[in-house]
Amino acid sequence: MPSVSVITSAFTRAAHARAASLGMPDVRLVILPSPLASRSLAEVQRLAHAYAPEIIGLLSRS
Amino acid sequence: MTTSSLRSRRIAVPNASAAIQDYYEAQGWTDGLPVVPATEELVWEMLGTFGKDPAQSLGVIQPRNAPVTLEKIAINAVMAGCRPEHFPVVVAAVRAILQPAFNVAGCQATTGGAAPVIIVNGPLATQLSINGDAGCFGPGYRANAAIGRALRLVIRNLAGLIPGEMDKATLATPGRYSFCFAENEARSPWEPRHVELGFAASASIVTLTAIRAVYPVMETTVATGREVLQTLVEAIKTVGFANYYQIGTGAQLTLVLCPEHAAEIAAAGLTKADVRTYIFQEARMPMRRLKGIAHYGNRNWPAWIDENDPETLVPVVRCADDIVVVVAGGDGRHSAWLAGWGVTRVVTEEITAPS
Repeated sequence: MPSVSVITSAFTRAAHARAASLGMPDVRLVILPSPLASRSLAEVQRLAHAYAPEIIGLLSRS
Repeated sequence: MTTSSLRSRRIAVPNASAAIQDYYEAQGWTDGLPVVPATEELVWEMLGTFGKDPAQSLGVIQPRNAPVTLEKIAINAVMAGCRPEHFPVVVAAVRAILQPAFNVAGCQATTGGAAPVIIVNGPLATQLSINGDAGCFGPGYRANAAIGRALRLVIRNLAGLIPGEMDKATLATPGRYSFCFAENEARSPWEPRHVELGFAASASIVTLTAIRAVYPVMETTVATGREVLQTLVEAIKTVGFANYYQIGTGAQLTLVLCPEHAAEIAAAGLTKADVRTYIFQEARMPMRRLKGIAHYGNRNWPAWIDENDPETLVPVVRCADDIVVVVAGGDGRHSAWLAGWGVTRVVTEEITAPS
């Protein structure tokens, strides 16, 4: 099943290390700017719209 | 002595202390302090009666998804400075953190930077000189220092939790170098924790929790045990203490009572179970002090918590049994509560000979 992991940039190294240890070095990652937690709901919604095409694109990549 | 069944790589390093330590550090295998070089001879000595099958795996540790063999645990125990007689305690502690409920990948990778804490109960604590008396959270006892350090080296080297990589702790805590102590059973007015849990008095166990901080509570003024408990309650009701937001994920609290406070509380007619109930009932924060700040954005509350009522009282744990009560420390009237990391359950393992 196609899947994408959405992370923030602070976790890029951790995500690659985890993916490698699970034998999935080519896991599809979408990397949002960090930090996310302090953003307003409106900002998060803007980010979601901005990154949706990338997420959909990776999910539909064969 | 046979060395044929150790599977780890043999590495030749110039036989000079500085070169050996530099090599360990360069590989990223230490906690920053020098380690005892893990030679084959020392690893065999550490394995002791566990040496019949060093390749035996106790499970797979996350997040590195790596098998945890007795051999690898022994190597890290040697590096940490353990004596061979400490090894069964280290093995039990590793078994404990491998229990899924402990969530080692979570509590050791989180930005919250929790430290694993080993609490030892039973006759082995005395036999191995694991300090549960004066200064037991601090330095000075090889068993405490080395056993706790061995567990952290296992986590670093087998789970792959390197700070800044998969270990994303913002600050972490000095407790991550080593945090191991015994319950002071000799000075406790109550049954020791292992008996409380149904183990034989002759058994020895480890209790593992993951904590974000030690909050000391000095109470040198009041005269009765109930007042001591009330001071503890007021100390626990702290803005920013994440447990209040995470009772839905099973956040727990460990209360470490010093012998003098414990004696005063027992003299008031209270048992360990009564202490748990008292803390559960009294250490509650009103919704108006929790809502919209601190960990609220990441809250996990059961359905019975009414967010819309500003006077809803939120308990620090979801039930009284989620509080661990042990007696430890020496003279003086200083107790402490250990703030549990919110997605880890307290786990126990009996310390046993090889199966």
